[in-house]
Amino acid sequence: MLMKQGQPKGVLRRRSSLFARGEPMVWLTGGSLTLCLLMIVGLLVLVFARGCSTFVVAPITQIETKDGKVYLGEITREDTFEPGPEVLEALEKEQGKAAVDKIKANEGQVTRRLMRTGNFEYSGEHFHWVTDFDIAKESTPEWAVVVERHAREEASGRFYGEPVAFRIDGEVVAEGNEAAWKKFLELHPEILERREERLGIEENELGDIRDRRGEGRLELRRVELDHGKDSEQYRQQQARQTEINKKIDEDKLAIDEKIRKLIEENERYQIDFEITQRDQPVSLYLTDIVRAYPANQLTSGEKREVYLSRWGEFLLDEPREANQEGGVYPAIFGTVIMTLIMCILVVPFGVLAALYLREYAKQGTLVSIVRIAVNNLAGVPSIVFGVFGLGFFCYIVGANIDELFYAEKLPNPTFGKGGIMWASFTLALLTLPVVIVATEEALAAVPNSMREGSYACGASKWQTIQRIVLPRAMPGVITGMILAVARGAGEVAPLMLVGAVKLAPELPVDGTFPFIHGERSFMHLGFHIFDVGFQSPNAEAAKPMVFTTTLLLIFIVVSLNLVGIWVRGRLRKQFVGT
Amino acid sequence: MGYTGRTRERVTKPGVRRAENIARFLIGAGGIGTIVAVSLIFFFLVWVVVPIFGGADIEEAGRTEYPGRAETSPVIKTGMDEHRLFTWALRKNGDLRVFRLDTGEQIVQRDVFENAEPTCWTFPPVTKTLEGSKQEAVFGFADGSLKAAEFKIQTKWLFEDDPPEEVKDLKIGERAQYQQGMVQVTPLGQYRYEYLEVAFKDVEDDEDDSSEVVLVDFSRQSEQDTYIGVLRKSGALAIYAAEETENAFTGKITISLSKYDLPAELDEARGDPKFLKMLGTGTGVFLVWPDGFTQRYDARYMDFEVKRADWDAGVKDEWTEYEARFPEGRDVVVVEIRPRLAETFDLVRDAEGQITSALFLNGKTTLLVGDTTGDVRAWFPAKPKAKPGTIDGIITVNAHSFEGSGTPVASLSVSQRTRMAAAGFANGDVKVFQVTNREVLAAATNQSGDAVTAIAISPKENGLLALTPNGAYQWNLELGHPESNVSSLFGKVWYEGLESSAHVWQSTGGTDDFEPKMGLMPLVFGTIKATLYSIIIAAPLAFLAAIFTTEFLDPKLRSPIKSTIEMMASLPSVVLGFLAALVLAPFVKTVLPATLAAVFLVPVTLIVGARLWQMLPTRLSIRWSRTPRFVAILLTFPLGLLLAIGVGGLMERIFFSVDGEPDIMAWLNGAGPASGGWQFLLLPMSALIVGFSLVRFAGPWQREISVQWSRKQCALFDMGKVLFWLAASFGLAMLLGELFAGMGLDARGAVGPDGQREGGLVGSYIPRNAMIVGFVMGFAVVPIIYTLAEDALSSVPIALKEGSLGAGATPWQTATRIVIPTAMSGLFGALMVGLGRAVGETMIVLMAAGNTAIMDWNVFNGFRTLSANIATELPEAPKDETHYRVLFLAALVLFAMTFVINTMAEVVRRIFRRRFAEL
Repeated sequence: MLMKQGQPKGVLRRRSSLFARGEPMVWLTGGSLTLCLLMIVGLLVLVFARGCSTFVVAPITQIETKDGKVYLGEITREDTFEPGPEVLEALEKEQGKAAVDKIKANEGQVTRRLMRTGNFEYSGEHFHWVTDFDIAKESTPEWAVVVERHAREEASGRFYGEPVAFRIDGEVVAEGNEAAWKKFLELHPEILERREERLGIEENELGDIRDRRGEGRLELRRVELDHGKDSEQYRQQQARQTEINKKIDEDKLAIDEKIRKLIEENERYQIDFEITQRDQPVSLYLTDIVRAYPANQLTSGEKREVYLSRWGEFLLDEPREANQEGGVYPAIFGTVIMTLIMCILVVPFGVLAALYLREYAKQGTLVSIVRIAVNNLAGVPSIVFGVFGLGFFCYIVGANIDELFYAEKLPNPTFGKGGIMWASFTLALLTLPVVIVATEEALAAVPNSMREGSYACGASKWQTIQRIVLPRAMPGVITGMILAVARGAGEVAPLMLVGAVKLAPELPVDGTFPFIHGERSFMHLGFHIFDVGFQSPNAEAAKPMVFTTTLLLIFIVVSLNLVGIWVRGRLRKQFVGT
Repeated sequence: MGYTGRTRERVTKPGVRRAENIARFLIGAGGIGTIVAVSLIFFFLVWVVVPIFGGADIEEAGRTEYPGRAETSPVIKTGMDEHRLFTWALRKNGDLRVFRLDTGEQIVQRDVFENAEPTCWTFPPVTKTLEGSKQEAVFGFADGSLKAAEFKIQTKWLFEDDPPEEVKDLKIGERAQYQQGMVQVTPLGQYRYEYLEVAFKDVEDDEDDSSEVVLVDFSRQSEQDTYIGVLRKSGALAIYAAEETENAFTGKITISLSKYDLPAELDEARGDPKFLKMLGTGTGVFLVWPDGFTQRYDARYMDFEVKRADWDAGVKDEWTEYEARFPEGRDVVVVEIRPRLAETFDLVRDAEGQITSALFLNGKTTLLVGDTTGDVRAWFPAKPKAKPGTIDGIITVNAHSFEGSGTPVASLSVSQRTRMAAAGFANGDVKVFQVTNREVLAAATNQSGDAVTAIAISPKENGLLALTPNGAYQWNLELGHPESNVSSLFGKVWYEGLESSAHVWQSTGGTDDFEPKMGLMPLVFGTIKATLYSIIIAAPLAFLAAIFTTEFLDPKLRSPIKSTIEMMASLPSVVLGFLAALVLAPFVKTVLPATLAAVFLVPVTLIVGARLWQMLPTRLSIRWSRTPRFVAILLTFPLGLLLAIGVGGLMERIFFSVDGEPDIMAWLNGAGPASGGWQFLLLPMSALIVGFSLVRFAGPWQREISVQWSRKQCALFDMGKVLFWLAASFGLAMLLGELFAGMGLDARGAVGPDGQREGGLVGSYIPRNAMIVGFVMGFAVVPIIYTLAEDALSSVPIALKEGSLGAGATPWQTATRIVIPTAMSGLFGALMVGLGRAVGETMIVLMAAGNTAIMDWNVFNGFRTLSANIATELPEAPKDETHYRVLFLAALVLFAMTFVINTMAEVVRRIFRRRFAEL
């Protein structure tokens, strides 16, 4: 209320001026909050919707264009564009004025659809744009089948066609859509089993052979390094090695024979498909087929089954087709293991440092400088830690370890390059300030009276810390840990320098001694997103998978955060209760 | 200490005591160790970076008498092997000697020209082949013939098991003469045998020109593609494409030539030129006279086709100097480019100077000349943006000069690896230059003071050899990292092919002899650009949102909303980067006008909404001031977006029309009038100006006249005010826009000499640009600023707020005059922490910024930041090389930037805390 004193007329009614309410400004602040919320909700909804729809069974459409070509495939997206005058001119020549008028009526906009047509080895493309004005006929053929398959030579990526015949040993045993398909459904599971069996043999038994060979070679080199090439020991070792190699060769022959048999049996079965790119039907080996289904005649239950089976593959299998298909299991595994090792490192050291700073160090200028420095470190860009990790851990510490313990493998580095151990170390350093700050705050929040009470009862300092202070500070420590884990799991930039790779042949933890292989490169979900999204040869096909991986990563990080909040709440309650 | 009471009766158990000690030790060691480890990061980075700035060291390594030093025939070339075991020197009379570097003992002597003395010779920079490197050479003779040669240093490994007698007793590192060369034992105990192999090739010229060869040069562009340039006594200048054929029986290589004439324009009065130099690209030939007068010939021999329509539209004007053919029946014009004289210039500073030596630096682009005044200068062709007046649009620039002391340059030599050169002077001085950085790395003198007749840098750049009539002098060089120093890292450097110095980052190239360009400024600029644009978006959003949350939001909603926004902070940045690059960037490109419109229209819609809200009856407006109002805002927001989508096309038509057609992309590329862009850019600003003036000047008046008005009347008046504000802002923007455009200013920057606009705030649109990064990185920064700002605002003591409200202030007045000023330092701290995060963010910029290292404020252009650069280049950089260390320096710069920002934040936060302690 703004009134000049001594205003002569009118009745004074107390009311606050609208002007002072600053309504427009309040709305602007509210608008900002709305935008923030819209962004986060929009992002989550987008990622959720796109991520979940990756594995949905889409209908297969067959489109016949006016120039007589036929395309069979899934429609992945559609957009509109404005054709240039040349296109319109050409169109008028081909299809007459009516077609052009139709476009003009639509403000010059034309709709086109992107079809995933697959059959790369016959068409040279995975996707095809179909413009609306080119379409002559559109249908959804009942027997169109989607085939997801393993790459074999030229043939890679999706396959679309209609089954026409089933062959065993080259002889047609079933003809016609339905018969061929029935036969396929009957025989495919056992073929897949055999394939699995073969892969298992290759991985385990052939892997063993490889390991034994490698060990022999290294042993020989070790003897050479220790005693020299001319020595008696070297000659003995060489002889021993020849003996062992002979045994290995025998074993390998047996395994090869087993594998050959499995492959031979599997390659007897073929299914013929009619495809739109060729007049003759083409055959696929059943052993190459990961999954196939006639999308247009599935019931909703079957569709759900395919959907779930794809999710299962995504979560539990290894990637195929240059990471664009298959699963991300190694990436999930790598992320989890790396985060775990990081956690084991960071929590004790972070707590020790915080205890020292808060309970043991003499409070003064020095300690507050250290505190500012630690706080500061939390703001240092993650890539700087990556640079440090590469320069210090890999190139200096790792190179020295190699020289001391793995001299026989040089010049191939063992620890002198990026690996899961160095990645964990780097991330541990990166997240250390988070843990220190959180723990310190928690320690500071423990009332001094409790410490004094403990001392008064005759407890020693360590006893006080151990039994009074630490338990009280536990929620803070756990919070710090969870925050560190959430940050570590989502961080990618430093990992690009210290060991995340697009495809790691072996998991960092497995059944061979010493079980945890810290020197191995690993796959990481975040790096997987970067790699598949940006360095993939077939970006269009990769995009849906990236969305799903993104969904998974967000899910992991957000649920870790939620768990942290939940644990903190519970612990707090517990202490309030006692 | 006196007796204070009862003696202690109980004893601490040894276990407890031990645990106590162990704990004290462990916590002390662990804690201090952890803190030390963390600070190690900084020291480690410094430790890796420091060697870059170390200077070069030169150390005398003795003098040896060498065979043939008394000969009068001048040394025309000398070289040495990689391990500095032996050297070879070729004299003009064909006397080739190989001798040990340590003792001067002669290993080989040969007469390579068989009594014919060459009239001219050329030794182009050493070429690297699969087997090693080779020094090629071409000699011209008085009878008009040419001879080509290769001087190759071969390495062989002798049998370890059965070494020859001469070298059997050698220990590791020791050397001995063996057959045609030297043997040295490597640290692994292998016997490395190195020797010089000289192979001559005959050159067959179809025309068999017998006129004396005055000058010759040789250029190898690839394994197959070689050219020989020849000037004959008759005045004929020609370039020959050389083709090598190997005789299947004898293994002898013959070179056959096919000739392209160059129309030489020689002036009798000047006498014969002294040097003929062909550029490595094959596009130019230099003829240099002793007094420094130089002709550059455009040596291109090619035809190219232009579409007839383009030709008529303007291409014609660019090629007026060249012949154009109009082939019948085809819709093209053929431009014929033929060799011709392109420009003339003077290589010497003053009239007295005479050129003593000229040769190309590694890469065969920069011509290095030494003269009698002692100057060493570097010249290379550059294509300036402004037409220089030469027929091919290229001029030769004197990029670098090393002033001499008056003593003539007696010999020059270049490094095989980098843009480094060494000069020997007539008074016995030697100097080593890094040409690109204009740095004299090392200087020394030989005690005898004899002129340095020949000089050579060792292949590994670790040694320098100077031949004088008195003996061979050697120096050990330790150059460190000559390619980078403070001024080259942070200042402008004149790189090859540029018309002037510039900040450039281009660390690797396709070829071995690529000149690395490591200026950090474009990256620092990119980092600042990214930070600035993202903070411009993030800071207002986060602060306003925080104010709304603490001051106007229903307390029940506060906690869920705060944790939702905090969840944003935990989103991995790789996710944001991916969405920015693959979803947002392509999307925004299609709806650019609507996006730009939204920036203005959404706030306007909100303000209009607020004015409408005021029209509610008093009772309702009070009852609905919490959640219902927020819901109203939530609903108004999308309305603004819808409006923007609807108006986008119209706005494009008003502001960004090119030839009457709305086309924002063409407008951004430089077409269309400047005024529209100004009007659009100035719209927010004029809205602010008008709004502020309304508050400042019309406010008191409004208060005065509205005293007796009802609430409704006030609201109606305000509504009218909004309309007036909008109209006035538009009017002002239009006016200012026309004014700015009338003054010749353009938001897209001024037109450069090459006809392209540059340096503007807006410009050509690249899908992955600063706006996208700003938006998405803003998204990453918002939660950080928001959380801290919200904490600061909500920790303002409630008593202060209550006092203000109790005194009759409205919530808005309380917020702006009590809460915000009190929390100011906390808000500043929040801003700083947000800045720190934006500076170092890697994945978002790596994925969404296009990664081009250009310095350009254009919002719609890409950039490259320090962090993204490290992430892309460090995995490929070999350990301890200059590139590796420079990338560490980039990390250190990042570290320093964030450290400063964070320390500021921390200090302010401490002030803030103290202030609250006082309250």
